[in-house]
Amino acid sequence: MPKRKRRLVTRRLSEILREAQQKRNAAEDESTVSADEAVNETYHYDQLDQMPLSASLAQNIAVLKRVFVDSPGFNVREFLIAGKIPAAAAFVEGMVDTLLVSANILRPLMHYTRDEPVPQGKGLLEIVQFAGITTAAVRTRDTIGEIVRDVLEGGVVLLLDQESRALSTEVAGFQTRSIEEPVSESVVRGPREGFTESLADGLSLVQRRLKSPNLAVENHFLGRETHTQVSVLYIKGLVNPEHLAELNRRLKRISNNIDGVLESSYLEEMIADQPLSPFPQALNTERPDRVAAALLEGRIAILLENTPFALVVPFEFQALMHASEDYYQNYWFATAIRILRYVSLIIALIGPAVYVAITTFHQEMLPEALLFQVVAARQGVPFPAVIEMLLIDYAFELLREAGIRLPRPVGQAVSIIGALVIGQAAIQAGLTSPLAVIIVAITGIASFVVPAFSMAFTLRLIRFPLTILGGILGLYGVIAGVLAIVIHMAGLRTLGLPYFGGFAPQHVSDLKDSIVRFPWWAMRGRPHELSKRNQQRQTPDLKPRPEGGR
Amino acid sequence: MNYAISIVLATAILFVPSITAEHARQDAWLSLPLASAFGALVTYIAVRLALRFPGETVVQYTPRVLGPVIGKLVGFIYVYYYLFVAYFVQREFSELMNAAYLERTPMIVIIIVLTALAVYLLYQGLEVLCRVNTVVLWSMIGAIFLIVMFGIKEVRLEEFLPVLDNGPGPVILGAVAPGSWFGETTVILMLMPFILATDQPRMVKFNLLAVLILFLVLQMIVVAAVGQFGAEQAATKLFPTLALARHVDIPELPIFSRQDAVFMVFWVAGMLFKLTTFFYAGTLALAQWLNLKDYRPLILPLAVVITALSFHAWIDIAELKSFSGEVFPFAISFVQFFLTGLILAVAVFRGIRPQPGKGGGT
Repeated sequence: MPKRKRRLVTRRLSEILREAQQKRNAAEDESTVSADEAVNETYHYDQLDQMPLSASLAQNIAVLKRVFVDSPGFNVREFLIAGKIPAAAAFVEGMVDTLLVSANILRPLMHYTRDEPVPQGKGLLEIVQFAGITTAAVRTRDTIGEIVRDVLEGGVVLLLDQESRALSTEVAGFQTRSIEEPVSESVVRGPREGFTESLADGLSLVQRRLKSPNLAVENHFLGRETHTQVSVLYIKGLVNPEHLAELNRRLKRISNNIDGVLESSYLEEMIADQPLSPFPQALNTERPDRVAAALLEGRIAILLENTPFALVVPFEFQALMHASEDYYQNYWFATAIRILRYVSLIIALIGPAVYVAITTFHQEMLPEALLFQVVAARQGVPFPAVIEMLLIDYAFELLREAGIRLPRPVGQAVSIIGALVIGQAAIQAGLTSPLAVIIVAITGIASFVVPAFSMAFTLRLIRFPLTILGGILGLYGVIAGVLAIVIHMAGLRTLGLPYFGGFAPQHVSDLKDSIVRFPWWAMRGRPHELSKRNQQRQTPDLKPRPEGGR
Repeated sequence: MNYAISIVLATAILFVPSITAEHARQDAWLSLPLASAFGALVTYIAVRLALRFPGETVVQYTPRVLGPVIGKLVGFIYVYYYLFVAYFVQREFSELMNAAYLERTPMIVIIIVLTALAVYLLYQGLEVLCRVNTVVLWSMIGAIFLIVMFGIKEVRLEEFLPVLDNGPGPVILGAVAPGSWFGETTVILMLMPFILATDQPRMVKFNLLAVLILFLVLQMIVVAAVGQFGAEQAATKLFPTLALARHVDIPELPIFSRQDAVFMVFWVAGMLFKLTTFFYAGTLALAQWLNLKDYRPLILPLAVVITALSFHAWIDIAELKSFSGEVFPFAISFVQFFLTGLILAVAVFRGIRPQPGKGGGT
């Protein structure tokens, strides 16, 4: 008698629904708060993590609704498993792919048509997990805190009746940028993939380069409000455990004591060894191949959600002068380019200062021919050399900054007009000598050659005090300033690793990858200070040679 | 090793050629081997003594070796010796700066800038000092090499003739001053406890190698100076090495002419290390002499004291130069050679060993 059976089911369905509604009302009454109270009520994970789930579905839904009372897009979809057992799916609209949710979670559960009956309470969760939903990753959760976290990360959390555990699945469906060529580190030869704002993409990009079970990750969640996932990547057996422990200690120190972490620079400043230094103390990169190379040297990479910039610690100063392409081009060429970079580093740092010092204090150092030119050029300039230099340098920085911040077409216009005004008009008006403009232009271009932008910024900054020193004390002032910088840098450490590692403390084998780059077959060892445990990178006799030859 | 070279090199390259040439004339190049031999001897004694008490500095063990009263007295001589060299360096440095580059800048400004750098370096500690030193030293030797090479075509061998015209006496006299500079490696007496225990046994070799490298570099300069300018001029020039640098002249490449800027860069750095090293040794020695736990509180007051002393100890550059040729070498040789040798001899004779539990480096 099929007709009678259906009536039975229908009656029971309505009963179940009515019953659920009653329970819900009761639970909501219990936890209802006034509007004022709700506004002032705040939740933090350390507190939510202490709250276990209750066995009552209605109670759990009520708690979640209370936590998410004004939250944008929060949704609880209630339904019956196999038409009998009340359950609910909690998620945030816009963070999940709704098609996936209905196809993989709601439909299989509501249309559950296996022969064996679905048990109430005990055993239900396992049935749902193993025979019900069809999403790839499923985890069981015990506390409200975990559920809140999953929901906000774009998961769907399944709450079941008479069950104090929940099932969490990943069906994130928000829009992310596709993988593109990294803008800040482009290469002629080499992989063109860059990190995106998605941490999962970033991890997979690294993992695709290091297909080893030794690649390990440790996750931290930083920021009371942003709760940003931070993945610490390293290779087991290559990493120095002391470095790893130290980094984890520093990250734990910030974890819940900071409001938010929106970019890796937040971390860079928070984990710095010398917080007052203007020098970069973590290497940032957009390139997964660079991260992979760093991991292979025994370094640690830190990847963050919502930013394409990963951090690498510990590192030496010289790493700031290396580009990933150095390793992909012919090593003779790479060496030449590196020498070029070091020279430009020096020019970018002391170019204007030396000009000021020599024209003000040490004219006798110039060869006669050049001296006449300089004197003639400076004829009629109404400022002392140091003021002249500072003004043009300032104008140059002005142009550079304006060009970056403005919309692109406007920015180009600004730089063209600015270049004309400063390059031509200022000289013709007799406000400055052509030589000073040339020096500033060379200095500016030289600072672009430094591959690490964070280092280039530092150079731009300390160039000004050096120029002033050059104006006050001549070359002696410049040298004293440079020495002060060198002393400062020699005292810097990143995660305890000396900044000048390789040069000082000196390890001759480390110099193979410093100002020069040796061919790969000659780079047998990892950086010395870094990997005291596992020094050898590759076997020593890899130099190509004819079969049987020597 | 790097360390020992650079501290001696910095001052020695300034005056050695002219002081040596003054006495030994064209035989100046013969004085240097003598001086190096003396330097090697002093270095050997100092390292032996330091190695006998590897965990302590000279100020800490002299009271045990020589008895409390005399020991403290000798300890204080060491304190003063280090600080004395420090303010001698300050004055020497600012005199050259003043004479050669910044004629109208008050000398006190030059001293203060260098001292401020030294103080900063001291607060950073010995490790940082060594690192900075490693970075700069080899480029310094490279620069000297460059200066000498550019001038090598002008070296006239006949300037060195006749050999030993005046007998061996002047040669020995000429060796006294450089010899005492070589002896400045005795700073190891204060630094030994900070050298890795595994490296300590090799210190004899390292320091002697340093003396050898130093000898080669100085010999290069003396030969170049006497060969280019002749003994008469080399002796009368205040700063022959600087003159060498200024003398570089390549008509085809005007930009490479007058290397005095290059010279100044490395020389300022070298003087800074030297000042810092001796200042460090002096500060640490005084702290230990007074049984203080930390030397850092002494840095600033001592910096003021040595700056004042450097300013008032000598009237002008002429006095400074005659002082550094006639008094300074004997004064510091007394400490380096005589006192150090005495302590070692007494320690060996009395069979005094380091206190248990104080061995090894840090």
